[in-house]
Amino acid sequence: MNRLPTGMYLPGDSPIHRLDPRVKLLGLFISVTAIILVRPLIGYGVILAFLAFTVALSGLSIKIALNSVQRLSWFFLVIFMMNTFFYSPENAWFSWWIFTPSSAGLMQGVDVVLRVVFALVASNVITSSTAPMEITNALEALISPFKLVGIPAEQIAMILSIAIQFIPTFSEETEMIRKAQTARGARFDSKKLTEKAAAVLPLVVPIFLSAFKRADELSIAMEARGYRSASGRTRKKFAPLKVDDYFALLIVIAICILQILIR
Amino acid sequence: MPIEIKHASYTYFPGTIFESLALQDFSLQIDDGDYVGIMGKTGCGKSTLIQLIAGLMPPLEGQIIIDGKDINARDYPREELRRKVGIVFQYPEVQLFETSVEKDVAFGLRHSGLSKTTIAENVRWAIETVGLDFEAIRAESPFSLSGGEKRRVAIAGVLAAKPKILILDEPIVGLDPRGRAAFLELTTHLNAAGVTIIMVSHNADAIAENAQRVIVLEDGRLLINAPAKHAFRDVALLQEKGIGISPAREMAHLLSACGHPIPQDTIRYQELLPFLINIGKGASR
Repeated sequence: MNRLPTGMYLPGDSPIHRLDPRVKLLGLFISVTAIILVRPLIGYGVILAFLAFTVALSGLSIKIALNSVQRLSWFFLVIFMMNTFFYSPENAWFSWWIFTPSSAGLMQGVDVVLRVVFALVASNVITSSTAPMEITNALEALISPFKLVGIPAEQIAMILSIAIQFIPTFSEETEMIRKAQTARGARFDSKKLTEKAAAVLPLVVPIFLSAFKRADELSIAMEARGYRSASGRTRKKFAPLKVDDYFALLIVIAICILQILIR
Repeated sequence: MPIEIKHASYTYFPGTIFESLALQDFSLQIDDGDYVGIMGKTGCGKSTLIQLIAGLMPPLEGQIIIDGKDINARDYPREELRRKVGIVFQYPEVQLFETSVEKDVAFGLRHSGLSKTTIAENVRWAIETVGLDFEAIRAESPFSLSGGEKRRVAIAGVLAAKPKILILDEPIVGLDPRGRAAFLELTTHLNAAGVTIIMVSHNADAIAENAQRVIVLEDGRLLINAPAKHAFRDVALLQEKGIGISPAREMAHLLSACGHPIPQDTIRYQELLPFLINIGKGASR
């Protein structure tokens, strides 16, 4: 593996990097809403322009922004085909067995794929420009109002932050075990599905064992340092929102409202 | 036939801000039957080097040639490489996964094309070679064993393919003194039987006592490549670079600084002993 994992945080000093993580998370939520609401062609243009502007401002490469789009190409193809062939029997080009391809379906296919790509790009920009801990902090801040209805915001944030912290550890360990087993003669590149399933065992068993061991050690380490419950803990205070933050929020809200108005 | 590394370079995450150079225009030859100790500070490129030799990743530039063939060539048989080069990573016990010791050790031979009897023989040989009782342990679950036994089983899993080149990454870390001695003895025993040993270690003593050739890396380049006797000659340089020297070599260095005539290629305890005895005799006289 000599490739960066998808959505990995890439430190930088762009205006997007500097935005308050709460604003970024909320902004992502609102932009995805706008992407779902988009109806006329001009709406797509607005979204596209907005995304292009954000990517350019973030200083991330197009490659990073389109990360995992290529990997999901099969998924896109399937969605596209399903829509094209099964959308509606009305005005179908022809009808054969269960297939009723139509131009309406074709449009619908393109539409769905575009929306997913847009949402992917938006989330890529956020995850690549925000440190994982910032994201969990922001998430905690954003869901803390729901504490009133009994949602354990701190616990959720703690679980998430532990999970996120362990991603690099586990990907490193997986890589190492994969190499060790490969060197012993394991094959992970087999074409046959049954062999493929059997081939993951030498990977999955050690990873699971190590995950349990680490979880044990972590819980002991946390207890040893006096951890009791996530509630009532102090946490990092966010700096007050800056002009940029308000401006960014204003833009996404405006775009979202625009999409509703031109529907 | 030797291992030849020709102008190999390797960079992690090229073209990103995480870009880091691991090896730079690196050339090295390791002869058959050699026992090579590799030293260097963390991040100097040791791990990258051994993974390139094991064919676990191709160099970005340059070639790795084993037995006269480029191991990263498209038509190079991977299976042959896997059997020829064995690699024991740090804490190899994490690679255990099978339900019995015997099955786990035999795992690497599944795709080898060897006959069942040959595989069974190899497995028995490997388990006995690492100093375990084959009959007593064959049906045990690898997870019920002690830490030291687990490591031996994992090493047996690599040895079962009877590799001609055995790469060891920090193999003695976390072993007790007896386990350490037994393991190092195993490596010299294999080496005497013709296996090329490449051992990465921060433990200068283990390297000085066992290796014939010592390689020291610094920032992805070769700093020292010399017979073990000469590799530790420049004590000041090694100390400045933060690379350990064996206690025997350090002792010889200090004693000669005090005016005792001790050859500067003394690196092993057994070589130092006669001089110590002589000095002791001189003092008591």
